[in-house]
Amino acid sequence: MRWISLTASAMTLLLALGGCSAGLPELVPRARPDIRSDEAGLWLVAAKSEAALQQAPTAISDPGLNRYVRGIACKVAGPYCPDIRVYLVREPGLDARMLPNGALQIGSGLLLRLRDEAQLAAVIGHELGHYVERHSFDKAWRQRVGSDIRAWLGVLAQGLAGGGGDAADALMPVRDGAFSSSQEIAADSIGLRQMTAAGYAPAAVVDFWHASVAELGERQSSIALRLLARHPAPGSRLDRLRTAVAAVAEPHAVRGYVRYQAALAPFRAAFLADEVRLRLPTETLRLFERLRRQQGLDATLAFYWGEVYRLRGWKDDRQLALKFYGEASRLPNAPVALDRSIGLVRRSESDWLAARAAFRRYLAAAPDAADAAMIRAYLAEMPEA
Amino acid sequence: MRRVLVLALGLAVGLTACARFQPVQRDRVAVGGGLSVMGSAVWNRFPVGVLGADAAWTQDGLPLDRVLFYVAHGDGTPLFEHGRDRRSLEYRANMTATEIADLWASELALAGNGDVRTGAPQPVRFAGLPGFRFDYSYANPSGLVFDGFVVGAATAKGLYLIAFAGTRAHHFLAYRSAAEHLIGSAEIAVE
Repeated sequence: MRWISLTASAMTLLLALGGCSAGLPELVPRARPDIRSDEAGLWLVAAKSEAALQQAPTAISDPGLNRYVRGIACKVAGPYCPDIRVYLVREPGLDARMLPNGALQIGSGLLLRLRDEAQLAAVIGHELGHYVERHSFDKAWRQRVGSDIRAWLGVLAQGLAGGGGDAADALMPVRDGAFSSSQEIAADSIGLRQMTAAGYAPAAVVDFWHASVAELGERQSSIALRLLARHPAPGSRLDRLRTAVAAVAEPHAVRGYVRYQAALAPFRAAFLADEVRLRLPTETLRLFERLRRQQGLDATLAFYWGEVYRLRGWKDDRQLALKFYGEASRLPNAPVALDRSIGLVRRSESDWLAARAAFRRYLAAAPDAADAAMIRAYLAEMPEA
Repeated sequence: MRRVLVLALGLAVGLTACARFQPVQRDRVAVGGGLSVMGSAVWNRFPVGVLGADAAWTQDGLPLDRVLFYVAHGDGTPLFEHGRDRRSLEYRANMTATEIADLWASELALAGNGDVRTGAPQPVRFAGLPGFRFDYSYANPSGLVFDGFVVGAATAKGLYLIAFAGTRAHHFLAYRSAAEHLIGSAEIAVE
C-alpha cells in the first residue's frame, strides 16, 4: 500500500515536472539561450558536434549541391534562415537530424530517396519544427527528470525489499532518445506551414511518408531506416498528414522535380553504390522499387539493381543480375562498368565465351580504366572456350 | 570461497597476459596456414585475431596502424567477424580480385566506417603466386581517416590476404615501407 502511494506520488511529480517543459515557448528568430541556462549547455554540446560535422571526412563538400540545398533550407526557414546551418554528409540510409543549435545534418541516403524539391522542403521544414519548438531541450529535460525519478524509485524499491523496477520503467517518458509523438506531430505541423509558405506543394509531404512507409515494411530495426525507426506510428501519422494537407487553403503546386533531379544527378551513382555496399539486399531492393516508382528506371538504377543481385549471389541471382544489366544496356547512358559486371557474372557461371566478350567490350570502352590490367589478367587466366 | 576467488583472479591475470602484445623476432615468422613472413623488431604481434584476421601486427597500437593476416580462408567462410548481432559476408572460392575488393569495402562499411573507398585491383605476384593488390581508405566511426592496401592471392588452400592500414595523418606514410617489406617477404609453403 505504501509502495503504491509512493509510486503515485512519484508519478504526480514526474507529470508535474514534465508539464514544466511541455509549454516551452517557440524560439524566436536569432534567439540564443541565456548563457546561464541548462539550454545553453545543450547548445555548447551541439556546437562541439557541429564542429566535428564541419571536419567530418564524410562531409559532402561540393559547393553546388550545398548551395542548392541551403537555398531551399533558407526559403523554408524564412525568418529563421540565419539560424540554420546545413551539413550534407555521405551516409546511406534514411536520416536527417537537427541539432538543438540549428545545425541540420542531411544524409546522402535521404537525398537519394527524395523525389523532388518539395519533399526536401518538407523534411527541412519538419526538422526546423524540432528546432523552433526546442524539442531537443525538452527531450533532454524529460530524460533528466526520468532518470532522477528512476534513481529515486530504485532507492525506494531497495528500501521496500525489492520490486519497483517495472514501475520505474513505466515512468520513463523517453527511453531511446526519440522525440515524443506529440513533438513529431508539432514538427510535422510546422514543417507543413513552412513549406507551404515557401511556395511548395503540401501534398509532397504525404508522398514522402507514403513512400517511406512502403519502403520501411516491417524491418524497423535496419540501420538503413533509422529515421523511420525514430518516428512512431507511420500509419496514423499519414492519416493525420493527409487531413492537414487537405485543409491547406490555396495550396501551391510547385514540386521542383526537374530541378531537384538535375542537382542530384552528378551524385546519384555514388549514393546508389553506397546503398549497395551495405549489403542489405532486401532493403536495397525495396529502395530501388521506390526509386523506380518515383523516377522510373534509368540505366544507372538498372545497373545497381543488377549489382545487388550479383553481390548477393543466391540461387537465381545471377540470372536476375543479367536481366537488369540487360535492361541497363538498352537504356541511354549505361555505365561503362556494366560490361565488367556482366563479365564477372558470366565468369562465375564458367561461361567463358560470354565472359571474354563482356570483358573485351569493357576494355574497348575503357582502355585506360584503372583496373584494365586486372581485367586483362582475368582474360589471360580463363580457359579457352 | 577464498580458493575460488584466487583461482578466478589467477585466470583473469593469465588471460590478460595472454592477450598482451609480443615483440616480433627478426627472423622468419610462421603466421599460420603455411604463410610466413620476415619479422622485424619494429612490429608487435597481438596474439588474438582482430576483425576476423588470423593475426594482427602493429607498431604504435592497433587503433593507429595494423597489419592483418588472413590465411587459407576457405570457401563460404566469413572474412570479418562482426559479432553475433551483425551479419558476416562470406568469401567464395570463385571470387575475382574485383569481387574481393568489393567484399573488403562492404566489410569496412558494415563495421561502421564511413567514406569507404577501394582502388582498382592490380595484378601482382604475392608469395611467388599470381595475386592482386588494391588500395583502400575509410574514416572510422570517430572520424579518423585511414589509408591502406591489401595484397593477396587465392590458392587451392584458400584465400591469403595481408592488409596494412594506418592513419592518414601519420602512420600510413610512416610505416608503409615497413609493411611493403613485410608483404614482399611473404612465402606460402607448398604441401
